[in-house]
Amino acid sequence: MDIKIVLFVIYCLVILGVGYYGYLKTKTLGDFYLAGRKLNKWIGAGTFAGTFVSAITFVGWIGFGWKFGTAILPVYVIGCLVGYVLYAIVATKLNILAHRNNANTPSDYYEGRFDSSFLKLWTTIFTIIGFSVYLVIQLIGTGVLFEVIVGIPFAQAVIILGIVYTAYTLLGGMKSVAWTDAIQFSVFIVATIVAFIYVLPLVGGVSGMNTSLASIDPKLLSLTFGGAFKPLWIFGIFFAVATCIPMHYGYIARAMACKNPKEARGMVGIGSFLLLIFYLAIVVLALSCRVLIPDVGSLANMDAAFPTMVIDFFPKLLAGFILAALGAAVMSTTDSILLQVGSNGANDIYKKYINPDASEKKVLGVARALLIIFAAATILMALTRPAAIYTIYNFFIVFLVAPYFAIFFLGLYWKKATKMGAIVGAVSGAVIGVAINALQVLKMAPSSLSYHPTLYAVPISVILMIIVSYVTKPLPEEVLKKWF
Amino acid sequence: MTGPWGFTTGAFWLLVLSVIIGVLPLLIYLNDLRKPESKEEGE
Repeated sequence: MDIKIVLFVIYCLVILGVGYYGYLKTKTLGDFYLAGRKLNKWIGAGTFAGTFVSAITFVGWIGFGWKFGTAILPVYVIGCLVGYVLYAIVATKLNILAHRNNANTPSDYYEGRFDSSFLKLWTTIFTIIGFSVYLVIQLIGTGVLFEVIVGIPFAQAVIILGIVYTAYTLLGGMKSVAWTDAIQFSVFIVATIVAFIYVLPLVGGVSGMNTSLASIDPKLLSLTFGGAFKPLWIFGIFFAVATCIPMHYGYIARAMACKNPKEARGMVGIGSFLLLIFYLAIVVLALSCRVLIPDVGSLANMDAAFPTMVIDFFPKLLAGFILAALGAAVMSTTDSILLQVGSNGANDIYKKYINPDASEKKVLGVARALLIIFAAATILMALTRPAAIYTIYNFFIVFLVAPYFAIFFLGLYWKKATKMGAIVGAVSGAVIGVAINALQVLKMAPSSLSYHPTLYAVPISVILMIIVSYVTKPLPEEVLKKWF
Repeated sequence: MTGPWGFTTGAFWLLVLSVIIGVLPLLIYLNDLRKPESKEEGE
């Protein structure tokens, strides 16, 4: 049997083993969602970084860098790094508030802060929609990798990995997710650095790489791809990427799950530093990829660039290792999403609206059932392969930013924000973001609406939330006391 | 208008800026470590 497949099978078995260990350790809902609120900075850093790096990075963004060169820096890399700084700033506060108010999910925070069960439902619904798109991206990424590297059909790859990650998320919840994320992050940061060390001499070092890029197409060295990307368009993506990080459900949950505020900040500090090293390697890998595969017409689309480089230019053993690492990156992200969806659905919808008297055991059972249904639905959607990852990603981050920006930042830092103000902020942000997104996808958007939808949704929702907060009844002091 | 290693000047400085921004969260944490424990709750 091919060494690549053997490595991959061993890898899947190890991950399932860790999932089973997590299952044995999971007794309560708090264990399932938040690892019993005992996450330390090292495992936290691994799970934060592990969740952050996914098929979007390896397949989507290396593909983007392959096609558009150094434009990857302003379009993506800077946005991520600024996002980590914002996350470092809010993580301590989120941790303190979650511990003080016994908040299990980010929706608990929105509900408690604004004394509004509507906001809990609203934010939960948008989380589930956003994450279903995200999961589809991950599955497409996995499918492309396996199609190109191992040569197994796209559909089979999507189904096999879909089942493996569902199985182990199902078993343990956050405890196994946090541990496997940390293990997986170690695997793929080592693989990325090995790939970086291997590829650099192939392209003649950084200078040689840039000289080759200039001869292939001078636009590859331009930050705007020779003016193809307008500065406001780049700013739109940067803004969405940077702001989605601190208010991303998975990262809020991780800040809440750390055992104290210092561990939370340690998690972000250490995780971000590891990610910085990782991203510098990714930029070089993306640019080298173009040097090695110069003809843009030779691939079906940009998502195939990195897997093609791995299979055509890397030795077999290294290719197998990278494949396992890529599988790791995808799995460590998808498991977190599944966990969020299971816990949101069970905690924020089922227990809240359908069966408030349900026992912990019953809610845990519902979380697991929802997780299976959701995984099956996204596997089916991924099989249709709607577009290149980078395109779906831009669509996806709207769901992550537009409904939450106003209520997240004003909720944390502005005491005068009222319940009605927050409802208006959350609803207007979501409606404007989704409407512009839809117009752009359907190619019906006028040129004045051609930038990233968050650039319209965020300022309008913030202004509306401030205006409405000034003219409506302030929240009772006993509510505010808990959150400030 | 080329910067070090054949990057354009803009790309080179953006890389430098990336590194500076990238270490900020770690610096924020290290700065936290120097503060006494009791100050944490007051945030």
